[in-house]
Amino acid sequence: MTNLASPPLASVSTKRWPPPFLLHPSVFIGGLLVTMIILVAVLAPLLGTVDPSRIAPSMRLKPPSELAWFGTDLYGRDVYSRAIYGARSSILIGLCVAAAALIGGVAIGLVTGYFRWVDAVVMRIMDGLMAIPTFLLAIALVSLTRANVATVIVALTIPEIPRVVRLVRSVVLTVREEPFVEAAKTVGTSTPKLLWRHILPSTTAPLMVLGTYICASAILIEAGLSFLGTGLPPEIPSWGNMISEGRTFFQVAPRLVFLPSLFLALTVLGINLLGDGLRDTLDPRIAKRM
Amino acid sequence: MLAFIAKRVLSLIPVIVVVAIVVFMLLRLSPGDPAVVIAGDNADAAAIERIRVSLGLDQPLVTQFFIWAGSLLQGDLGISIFSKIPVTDLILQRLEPTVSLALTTLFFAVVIAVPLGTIAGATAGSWLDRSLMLVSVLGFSIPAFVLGYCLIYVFSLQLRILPVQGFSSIRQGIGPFLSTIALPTMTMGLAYLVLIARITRASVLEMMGEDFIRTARAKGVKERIVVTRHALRNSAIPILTVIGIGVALLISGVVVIETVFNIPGVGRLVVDAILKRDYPVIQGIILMFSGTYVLINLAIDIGYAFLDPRVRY
Amino acid sequence: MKPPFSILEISDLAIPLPGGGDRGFAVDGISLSVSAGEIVCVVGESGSGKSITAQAVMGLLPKVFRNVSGRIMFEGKDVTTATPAQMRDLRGRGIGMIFQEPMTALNPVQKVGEQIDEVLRTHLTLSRKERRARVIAAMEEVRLPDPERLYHAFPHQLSGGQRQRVLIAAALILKPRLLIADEPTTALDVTTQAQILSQIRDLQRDRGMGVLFITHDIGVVREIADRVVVMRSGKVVEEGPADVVLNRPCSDYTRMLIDAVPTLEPARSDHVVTGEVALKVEGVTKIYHSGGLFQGKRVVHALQETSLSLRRGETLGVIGESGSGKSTLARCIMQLIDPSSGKVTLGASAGGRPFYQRIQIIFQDPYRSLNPRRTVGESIIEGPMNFGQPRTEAMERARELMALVGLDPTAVDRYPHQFSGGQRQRISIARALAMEPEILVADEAVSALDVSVQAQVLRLIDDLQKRLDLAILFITHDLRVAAQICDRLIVMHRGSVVEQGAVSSIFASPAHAYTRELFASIPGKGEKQAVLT
Repeated sequence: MTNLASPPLASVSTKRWPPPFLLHPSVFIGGLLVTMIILVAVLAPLLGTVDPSRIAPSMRLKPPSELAWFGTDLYGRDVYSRAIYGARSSILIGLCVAAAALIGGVAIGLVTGYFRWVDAVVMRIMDGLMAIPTFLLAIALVSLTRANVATVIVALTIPEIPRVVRLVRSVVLTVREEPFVEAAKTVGTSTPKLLWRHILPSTTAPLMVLGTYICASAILIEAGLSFLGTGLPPEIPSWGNMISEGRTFFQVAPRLVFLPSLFLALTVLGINLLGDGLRDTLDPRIAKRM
Repeated sequence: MLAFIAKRVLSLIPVIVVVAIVVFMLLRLSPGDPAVVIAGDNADAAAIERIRVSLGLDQPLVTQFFIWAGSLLQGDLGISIFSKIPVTDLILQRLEPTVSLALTTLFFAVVIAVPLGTIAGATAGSWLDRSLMLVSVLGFSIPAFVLGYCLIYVFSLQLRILPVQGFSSIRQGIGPFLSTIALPTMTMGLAYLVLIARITRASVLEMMGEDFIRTARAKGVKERIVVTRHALRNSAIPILTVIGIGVALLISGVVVIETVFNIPGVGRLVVDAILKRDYPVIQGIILMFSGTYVLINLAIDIGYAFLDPRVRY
Repeated sequence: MKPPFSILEISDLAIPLPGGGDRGFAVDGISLSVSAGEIVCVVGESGSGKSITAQAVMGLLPKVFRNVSGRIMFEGKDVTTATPAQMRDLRGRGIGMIFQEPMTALNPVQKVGEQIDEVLRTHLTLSRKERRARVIAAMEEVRLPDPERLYHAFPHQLSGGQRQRVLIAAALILKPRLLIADEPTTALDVTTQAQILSQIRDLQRDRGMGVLFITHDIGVVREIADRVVVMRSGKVVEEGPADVVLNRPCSDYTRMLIDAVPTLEPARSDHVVTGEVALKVEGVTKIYHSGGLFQGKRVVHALQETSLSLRRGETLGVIGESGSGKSTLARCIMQLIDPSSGKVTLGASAGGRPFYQRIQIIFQDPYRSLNPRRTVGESIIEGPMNFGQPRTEAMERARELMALVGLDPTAVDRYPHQFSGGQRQRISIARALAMEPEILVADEAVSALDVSVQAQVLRLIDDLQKRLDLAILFITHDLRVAAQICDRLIVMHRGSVVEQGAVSSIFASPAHAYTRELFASIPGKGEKQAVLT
């Protein structure tokens, strides 16, 4: 053992810009769409909009014109402005639900995956929650109180948590059998450190992907709730509310339905593309867990 | 085999108990005193108290739960606050359109998705595969009600070949049934189809990389048979699983689609109940849908044993 | 003995690597031939291109390999230019193939009889009854027990050896002229391997077919080959009759491969152990319960009443095949699982150091025993820092340890994927040594390594023991490896110790029938018994 074996010079630099996954077509297009929608939401007042809630009875159901680019709705409100401001509620709800579900799910999932005695109890509760179809549970939860942004977020988060818990738990169950985790155990690493240092990092890639899907799903469900008239109150401009109000006049003014629909579909498409791309580039095996 | 089935059935008990507790809490958490709501605006205090006792609302919460769960086991879902009709009857009256729609959607989605996904998985990277993946992202991103209006716009308003709305029972003839149910089926089926096709593709693709595929090829087996007999056959479990999980998608779909197409089904019933805050009806329908979902997935779980000898033990 | 004509003639076969790796070709201009009635072994370490060559002959190269050049003549016809239909007809009928992993090579949801039958269905038109009779006959020929019943069994119900027999039956049912065997015994236990090898040899003699046998194991080559082709990095290094290549190799690489195979000569016959007892295992038993309410409860005795003691400066080998309980023993000792009964005690001394500072383990799989997201330095210092050593001091020590195990000390900042398998195993050793343990448990620590690397790591462990006065529990399935490094042996079979004693005495006269079977199964038992052809 005299010669020093030197590792091969692998050309893996940790800091390359842009990181290769950004160049994946799905990530790129999806990311672009999402960035644009977020910009629209943030910069809404600067995008040629008027007050989206201003009612003008004399302007009811006007076709598109210089003043109102996509016409006006039943109450004479500017359809374009409402669609632009609608991005705010959708993005806010999507991001908050994804963040809340991830944080809650990770905490529960780590504990259940690692401690067997908690596992049995918590997983039965999760199975029970999963047995109630997401949309119904959300709809029932919002029906308990007057819907506002906060209650909608809570109502959409609760049904998503079991999905996160299941994913985290499945990763934990696999990873904790890995020799490198056992090796860490045999050098005296405590359980909290083991979870934080060796197990949690393995969940980040699948969680990023699941987070995008939850975000997309939350936006869709919120729109569905508003469409049925059980979501956000009608004063708040949201795409679901617009479609719901517009459907009565669908045969005369389909634009009332189509403009918010287009925004909604593009937003969800962007998020889904981003999620698919992340899944393919980060770790193709993730698909099996979801 | 019997032991296997018994074990699966028993494992459902905690799930059902949790569902029951959640649904029960939902009613008890609802704002307002149910007795006051049921008694109506002109009731006096004594009447309210009578109703409260008759509903068992004066009992502790745990006792209330057991009383409620007991009547549940006898098929009693309570009485609608508004129509005063038993919830079970309300649901039964509305069941036919919902079941029809669910079955046509299931058929539509599976019949198209499985072959499509199989071909895409076996020819991963081909133009067919790529376009399927693209369509699938679109399918996931378009909300059902938006797709519904697009289809109504094209087929009913522009081409005028299908009715805009409504439902016609199959007992009134197959023609009207199909023409009314075609658009709702396509609307609801797209997301389901896309979901099944994706899983089929992913699973077949994964199986194509397995060693036993190489063995089959080494035996000289034709590629078409390699794909069907070996890759697809081994994908049966993930495909069946996603069909089962997708039932949740169908249930959410029914709620929205019945509103879009004005179909008098259970989905419409629950939306009306929510708008009127008719809690016993909401509760009953959630229980029914959850029960259906759990039972379908139980059937699928048991089906695994027939599809994969490794599951039987 | 030059057989009459070639069934398979490969000339100038070149297969470029996809996307251009560190070398351009997976297979780089090789030529070889197989004649009727002979077994040609292609031997090489990982990355030599031997399996790719086999796949190319079958026309089963993964799609990423393109622009194959050269010729592969099977019975005078070039398979590289054959149409897919012609190739399909050839596979199963003209060339049969068996693979390394008999579990994954069988379709898990199809009855094994049907999987053999599939060859008949594909190539012949026979009635159901005729096919069934031929399948049963083929199963009998490979000595599968109770073929009528086994026909309806699924792969998971068979043992590893039985699965490989099913594959052999399927590959040979149409009496192909050539059998390609791609590492067919690598995943099997050594006793099963011996049975399968003799079976392949018998069938080949009966039928006079040619066999192209791919392996990494010189012992297997010794056992079975008529002619040998040695491959390295996609090129043929040497070829010739087996006795010439194995006994008078003309290339350095072949000589190195042969020398790296540990001999059965116990290397430590004169080594005297005087250290105090470091580890004592008394009556450790591990029982697993499975099943439950509805199935009859099954009790698995993974480990029964096992006792051993280990002194400082001593290497105790634990020998056993899969399912023998040897890894369960290691995990019980390391407190990774709790034994059902019995106890493990460390020797007195060492001023109350915590358990995990006194005993450390090295795992089998070098690719999974280091956290891929942490630098190797971080992995090494994790233990010392858990016990309060400051970071800079621990890192300084990590560099020393890297040098000690023969690696570049500055490489502590690199990630595991930047190292080869052997280098990673050295890092695992450094991580264990960072705790300054008295006892080292090596659980199949060299089994996943190529034979040349294996020899280096063994030498390192041997060397470190002498320097640090370690007590080593060396768990392995390979008697040849044990002979190199162990003072004493315990032989385990189905959860129990069947024999123990000094290496030299067990090797001289194994007492238990199972130990004797293990010895008899070692492929190519030493140079003394050169293959007779």
